Amino acid sequence: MLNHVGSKAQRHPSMSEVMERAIMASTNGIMIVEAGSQILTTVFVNPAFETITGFSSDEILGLPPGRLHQGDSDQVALDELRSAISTHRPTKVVLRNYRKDGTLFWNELTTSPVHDEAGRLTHFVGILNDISDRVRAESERNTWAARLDALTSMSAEGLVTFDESGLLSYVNDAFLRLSGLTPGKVEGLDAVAFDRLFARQCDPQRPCRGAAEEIAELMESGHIIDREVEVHLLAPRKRVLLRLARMGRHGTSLLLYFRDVTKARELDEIKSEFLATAAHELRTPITSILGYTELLLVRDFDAGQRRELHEIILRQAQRVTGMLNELLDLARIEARRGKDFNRAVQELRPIVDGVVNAIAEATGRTVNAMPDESLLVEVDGEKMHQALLNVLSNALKFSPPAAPVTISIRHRSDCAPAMIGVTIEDRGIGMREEQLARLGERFFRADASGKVPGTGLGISLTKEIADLHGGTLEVTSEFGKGSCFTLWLPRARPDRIDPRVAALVSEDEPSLSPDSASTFELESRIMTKILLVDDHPDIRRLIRVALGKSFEVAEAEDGVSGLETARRIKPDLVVLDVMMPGELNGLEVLAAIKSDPTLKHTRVIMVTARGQARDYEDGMQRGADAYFIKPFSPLQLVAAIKETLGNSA
Amino acid sequence: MTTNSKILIVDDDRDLRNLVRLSLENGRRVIREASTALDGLRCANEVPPDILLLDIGLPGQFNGFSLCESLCKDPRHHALRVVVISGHGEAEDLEQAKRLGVVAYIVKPFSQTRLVTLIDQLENQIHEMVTIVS
Repeated sequence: MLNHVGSKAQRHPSMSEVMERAIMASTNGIMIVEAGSQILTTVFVNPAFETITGFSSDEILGLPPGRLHQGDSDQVALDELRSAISTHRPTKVVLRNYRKDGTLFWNELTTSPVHDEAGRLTHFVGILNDISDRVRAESERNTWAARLDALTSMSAEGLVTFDESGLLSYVNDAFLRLSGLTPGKVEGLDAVAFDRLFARQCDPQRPCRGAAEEIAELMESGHIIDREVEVHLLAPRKRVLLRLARMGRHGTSLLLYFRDVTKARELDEIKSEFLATAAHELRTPITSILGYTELLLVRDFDAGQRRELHEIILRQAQRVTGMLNELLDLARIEARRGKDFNRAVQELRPIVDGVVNAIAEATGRTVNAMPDESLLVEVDGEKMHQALLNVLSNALKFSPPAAPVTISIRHRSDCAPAMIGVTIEDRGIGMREEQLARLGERFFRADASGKVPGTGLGISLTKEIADLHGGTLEVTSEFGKGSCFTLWLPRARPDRIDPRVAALVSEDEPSLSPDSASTFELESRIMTKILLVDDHPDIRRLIRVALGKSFEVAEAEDGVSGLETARRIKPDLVVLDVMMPGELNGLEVLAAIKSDPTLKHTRVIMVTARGQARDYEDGMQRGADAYFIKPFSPLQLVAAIKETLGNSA
Repeated sequence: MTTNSKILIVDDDRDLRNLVRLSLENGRRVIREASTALDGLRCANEVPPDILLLDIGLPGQFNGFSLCESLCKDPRHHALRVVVISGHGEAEDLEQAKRLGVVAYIVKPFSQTRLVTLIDQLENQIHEMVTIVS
């Protein structure tokens, strides 16, 4: 009763009041715009409008709407809105709008015209809905989907998924490419049917565990199985794939990954084949060395025969050394991919001259050299020397002594950068087409008779060096007429010359030929003292024997005793191995000798293993008088010893 | 018991042929040399050898294995003993050599003394065979 009486006492709110409250309480922004004859004027905004946009009603009322676009007028939705307003029809658009603080929000705006009783347009009502969160979530989903799609389709790994009902639901491009299957054929298959189809592409000689079996195991154990199954494909081409099965995140869907390891496997095979060939090639000369040595020990030969056999042993040992050096060079060049190349812009001519001189010294054969012209290339001088030396000595080896070998220069400017070619042409035995095709193959020898010495690695090495300089080795040949090798190199721009390098290159390397030994005889009344410091007794003995009886020779087996002996006997010359066990290495002993005033007349010849370029530089900097690389000829060493002593006299 | 066994050396390395010849020469053996498999085939057909010392790694279309195969199939060479010299000691090569009826497989490098002992043994076998037949 009371209630009833009470309610009677309160004024019942009018409909328009209720509606106004609804408008004020709405979480959607609401604005009312008066449609004048020419312009639109905002006459009302609700509190939600103020909350959403950050503008207070004072900043909006009395002004035309459109403040929320803030100059972002190039929107398709805006055109629709304008058209709806000018034709007095309702519409719903999504706009990029901006709050007072300038931040973007996505406004789902619904507008509808309001007419008076006479049907004249008086107002527009706009309802704003901030859908930024929804748009953001959607766009994130889209971005993720796009990323995932990009990832899976660009992935080099094949990807297959099975859905929760065990049917194939997705395959990526990589899988289709690797397997040669089409999406239509595989989609919707279960794992067993998939295996059956996939097996048709595989090598029947090398069957593998089916994916279905693997999936069953995976489902049963629920664990991750980190076992990759090797799959050998024959179609669409021979491939080796590794397959890995994985459970999806929710334990229902399944993934199969296929990784293509064909290239890696091929490389492995090439490597082991190369090793086997290398070992085989080394066995032959070693057989001769061991065999002849054995014969010399167990049989009696006359002096002439002995000499002959020793010459064979020497030649074969040199062959082994040459092979080892070239093998190491090749391995090093391949491993470093030219990173340790000391490239500098320089004239090509001194390099070619160096090669021609080296050949003349070693073989006595002269080569018609190229014309004098300035040719700049950016190369590692030492490597280029080696590359050209290989080709030139090849040309000489395969042609009779009287046949001319010429070096000429070619140019090619139809490419960028322009190329310079060093052409070495011989009139030798030439090659047949099948031999030409195999040229550059490791250990391939154009001469199978064994009459021409060589390792079969020289051209491989030259090719590799040319490649890493951005060049090529071009070969043409005619059987019985001769061959023509051109080493193409990119021409360097003159503005890239480094003056420091130019100065280094022009320095002449000291040459140590055995001839200088025979022409130079040391005259001295007192015996010259020589100290040999090396941890290998065989090497010390070898040098001692080679030095003969005209020197007083002392030996030491490590750095410390070497330095002690040097200080005690004050030798005229020390032959010093760089790599020695113990407290002092060769370089340290060298530094100690050079800083000891009582040893200031002592000359030092350093000996090191091949390829330790750093040692060479360090040694020369610390005042070594000469440098020898192992293995060395004892005769050359003796010649160098005599020469060094001669220079000091 | 003096045997004048005929030995054929087929190897593309001249120094190696020379080495084997020097090791085996004893004034009684007749030793011939060939540098290619084809040359070896010709020599073998001219004068059938008792023992063939063959470098199995000979290059070319007609290689060491081909020579071995064609000689072993030929009834004229039924008594031939083939000793293979090889740079490889790989299982497949050994298997193939066995299939072809090679009596010994020597991997480089090898001892000359042992080579001589081996050839002596083979000659004794041949000699015994000859005496049984005669």
